[in-house]
Amino acid sequence: MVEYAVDFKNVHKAFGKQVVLNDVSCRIEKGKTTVIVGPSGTGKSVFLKLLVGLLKPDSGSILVDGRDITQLKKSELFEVRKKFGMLFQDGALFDSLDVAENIAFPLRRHTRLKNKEIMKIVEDKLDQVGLPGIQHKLPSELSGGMRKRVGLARALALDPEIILFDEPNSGLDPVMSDAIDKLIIRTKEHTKSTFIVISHDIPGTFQIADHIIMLYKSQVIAAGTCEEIQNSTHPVLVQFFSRNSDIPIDQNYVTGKLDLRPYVTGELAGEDAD
Amino acid sequence: MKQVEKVLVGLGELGFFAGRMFRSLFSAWPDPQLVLLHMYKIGVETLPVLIAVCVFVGTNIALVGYHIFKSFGGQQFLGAYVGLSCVRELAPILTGAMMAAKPGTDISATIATMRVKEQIDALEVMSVDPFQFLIVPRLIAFIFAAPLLVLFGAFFSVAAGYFVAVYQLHLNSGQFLNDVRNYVLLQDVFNGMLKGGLFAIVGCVLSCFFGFYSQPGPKGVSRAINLSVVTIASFIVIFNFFLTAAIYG
Repeated sequence: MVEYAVDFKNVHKAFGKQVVLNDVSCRIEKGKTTVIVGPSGTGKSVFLKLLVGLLKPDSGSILVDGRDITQLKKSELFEVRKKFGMLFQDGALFDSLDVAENIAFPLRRHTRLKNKEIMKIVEDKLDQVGLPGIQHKLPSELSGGMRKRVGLARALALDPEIILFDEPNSGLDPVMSDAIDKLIIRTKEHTKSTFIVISHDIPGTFQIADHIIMLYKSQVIAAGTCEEIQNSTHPVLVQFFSRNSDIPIDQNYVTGKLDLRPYVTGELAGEDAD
Repeated sequence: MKQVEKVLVGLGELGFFAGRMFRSLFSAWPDPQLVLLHMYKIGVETLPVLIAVCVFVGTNIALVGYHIFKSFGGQQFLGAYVGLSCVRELAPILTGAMMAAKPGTDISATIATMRVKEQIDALEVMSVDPFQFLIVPRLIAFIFAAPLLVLFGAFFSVAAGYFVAVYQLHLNSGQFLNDVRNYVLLQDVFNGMLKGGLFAIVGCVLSCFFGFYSQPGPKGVSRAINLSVVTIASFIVIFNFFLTAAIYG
């Protein structure tokens, strides 16, 4: 029987009049890599923030391992969050701490391990992300790709059940982008964790994903395996995955010209973008 | 009308923020290492600049006071004037102002940058309460450091006034010191420390608040710093009047 790590049920989220997620329902399978794709501004990052409880939905429920996190008290939510590790877009490393202390941070906060044991884990995690021996460097001395990998090492420190990646390839050159994708695949092989990745990177998505969820205009318009998504004839999917801005993806907006209006999300979607 | 609404919403948010800060202060033991680190940063690093300012304010008070008192032959009261004005008013105000200018801006900038770079979100995702980790240790450090800084400020400003009175204005050293001893009561010293402590608490709340709710981008960070300094400085001056009125009538 398929087990689900995360279950979004009719989730609605708006900021003022701007609807970011509209009646979103989707399930994320345990132990698999699910990539959430969609145009900019469709609510992918909000989806992640709702999932870790940084934001509360206006309605609907979000189940993590069967527990509705929208109903939890702060202390209970903090307990659930220990299941998560998250790689932020720019790594979100603490500037005042060196690499070792950044990775050690969750271990010092949530375990009673001795310093020697913590440093051993730090060393192992750095090896795992392909950056041995940089314990004493400061985040400001690292390149964008290195910061992301250290961020991943920190996310892995507590061996979480669910690992979240917020646009792991953004701002990286194609080679580094590919290296990060391969690192995700390698990390997946080492852990039994559930991986949830927000991405814009089409080749990377098909390289790492077991399942793909497509968000468009604040809603889930497709969910399935890579093959199912690739073979879909849905015009939005066809345009998105062919990276072609000349195809009008929404018949309401056929202009014969470059048309980016459908990329405006929520309630504004029906109005002119300019 | 919209501006009024904005101000009211801002005040409401500030109230909730301060409430959460003080709830966090009593909800769990803070990390002693973090508290010591911030006490060092706030106390020790503010001290040199505070002393420099207090010394020159003390000398100025003595000079200006001397010429005013001399005009009606009351220069023998210079010690009382310098002592009371420095201990009761100037030391707490200058301590509050220096704390706003140095650790206050540092807190706003640090927290605002952490907000912009998603480091506060990262703390939350790692199940670390940002109030417990970022704010409470700073608040405790402010509460302990401020009264001590007021003491140092008062001592150096009165001492500077003494040197000007004795070595520049050639007043009697014994009389100046007697004046300070007779007119400046222990109660005045405590009141000054209390004032300094209150200014520091408000300063800490405001700098954390502006940093925590900073807008995205470098402009948001600079606005947070700006708001923090301007608001704290204005607040100290206004609050000082009411405190002085409440204490001394």
